[in-house]
Amino acid sequence: MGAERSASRLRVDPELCIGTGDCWRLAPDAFELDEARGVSVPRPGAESADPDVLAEAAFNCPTRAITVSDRAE
Amino acid sequence: MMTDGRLLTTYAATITFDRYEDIRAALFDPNLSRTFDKRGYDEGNIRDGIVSIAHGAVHRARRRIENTQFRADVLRLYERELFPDVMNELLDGLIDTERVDLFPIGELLSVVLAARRAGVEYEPSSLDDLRTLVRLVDAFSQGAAILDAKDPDAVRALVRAAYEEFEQKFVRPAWRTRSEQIARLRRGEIAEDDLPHDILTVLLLHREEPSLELADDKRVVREVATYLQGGTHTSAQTLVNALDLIFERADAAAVLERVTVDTLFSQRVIQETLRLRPTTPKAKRRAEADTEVAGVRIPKDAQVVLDFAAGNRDRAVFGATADEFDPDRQLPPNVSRWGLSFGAGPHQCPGRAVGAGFPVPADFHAADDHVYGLVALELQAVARRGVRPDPDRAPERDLRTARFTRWLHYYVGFERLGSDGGQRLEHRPWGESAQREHHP
Repeated sequence: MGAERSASRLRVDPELCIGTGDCWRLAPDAFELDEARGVSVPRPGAESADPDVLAEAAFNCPTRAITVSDRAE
Repeated sequence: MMTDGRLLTTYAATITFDRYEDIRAALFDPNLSRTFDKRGYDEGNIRDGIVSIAHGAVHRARRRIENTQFRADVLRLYERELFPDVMNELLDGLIDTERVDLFPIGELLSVVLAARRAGVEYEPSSLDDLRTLVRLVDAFSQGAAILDAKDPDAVRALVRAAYEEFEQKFVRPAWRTRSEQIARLRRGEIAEDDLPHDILTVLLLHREEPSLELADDKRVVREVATYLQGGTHTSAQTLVNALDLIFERADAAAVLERVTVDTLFSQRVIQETLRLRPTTPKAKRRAEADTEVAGVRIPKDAQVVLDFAAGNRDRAVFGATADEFDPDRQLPPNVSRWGLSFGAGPHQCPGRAVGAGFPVPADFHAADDHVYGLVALELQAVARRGVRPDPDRAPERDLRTARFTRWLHYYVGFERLGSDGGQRLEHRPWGESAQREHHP
């Protein structure tokens, strides 16, 4: 397993993700595929993505692997 | 529920959800499993170990490798480069008279690419191969719906025989060639990208990983069959359900005319059809632990019934016109136009974008890389050939199952034999179609 990468507001739990690709199709600037693990990871700079889009990605994630939180948290 | 003289399972309670949000919440609850029949049904289970009923870690491990076959670039390749030619060749060959049964044609259209994705050995131009695969898919579909089967024992016997035939005719030859290629990969003679891109290949490539639980050859065969069936059945049923919904309308000709010129509209027709006519109208789950959904306490070992057909018509989500066929309806951005028909949560159908495409943008403008889904293209192709109801022969529902959205025969007529400028048949007005059974 590679190192988990997370942006300040965005996290993809690699244990839950099943790599459907819904998040990177919806927000290609915020997510990318880790080919080796078959899971999504946040892209560098994902924290600047539209928060509404990130929230939609989290809502639609079939395994609830995506969490979005305020920077202040 | 009894079978083979044995009790499949007993339930502590049966709880039904019929509201959209409640069903969605249940689908995400990790305590509600599709592995209903752990205790009395594992031995000889016709669906033993397949991804559809796997739960937890093994399900995640399988989906991670199998989902690679449903990436956007693969979908675009299928939709733009492979499917149009295959579809038109098949339609040109199969629509050879003015009146045909469209349902088996839809199955043939769907199985040709589903078989490729599954990774079986077949000849795409051989109607014999395709018809055999469709026959096997029909058996697997009955197996998938065994909880609603009217004669489960007959279905079980049919499916076991179908697996055997499927393995010998279609899987084993493909298995041999893929094993040879995987061996070459491991010797460093080829790259992973040189391997076939299909489900069987990824299963064989990774089956040594214990987390996949694929040591049993028969389980690999069943997994491949699952993808063949899943990629064929819903698409074929949805094509005829779309036409059935259109034919019920007074403005059917105008709707079909729009379909011919507007692919995104055709896609919306398909997604609206999926909402109103889910191929699986109800799903069931078993509570593996005490849990609570939408304020309802669910005890361990309860059966939970998820009424997709009702949830898809929930007025709180789809508005006062929820029962109506309206491909142009506006929906909140977080609601799928197909409702819950592909499920939600971890078991959401992996191939939903193959048949139904990507979500339709709210402004009804598709980006250049949009995927419309194969069934929208099929509907457009038959609309361009002037499809209309057969006035003399009524469609026939599949009465082997209680699932009300399934057809066995759907008779239609065509005004043209080719897609564009093909031979024009004698024009007949739409007239009165044969009596069709009305679906709720």
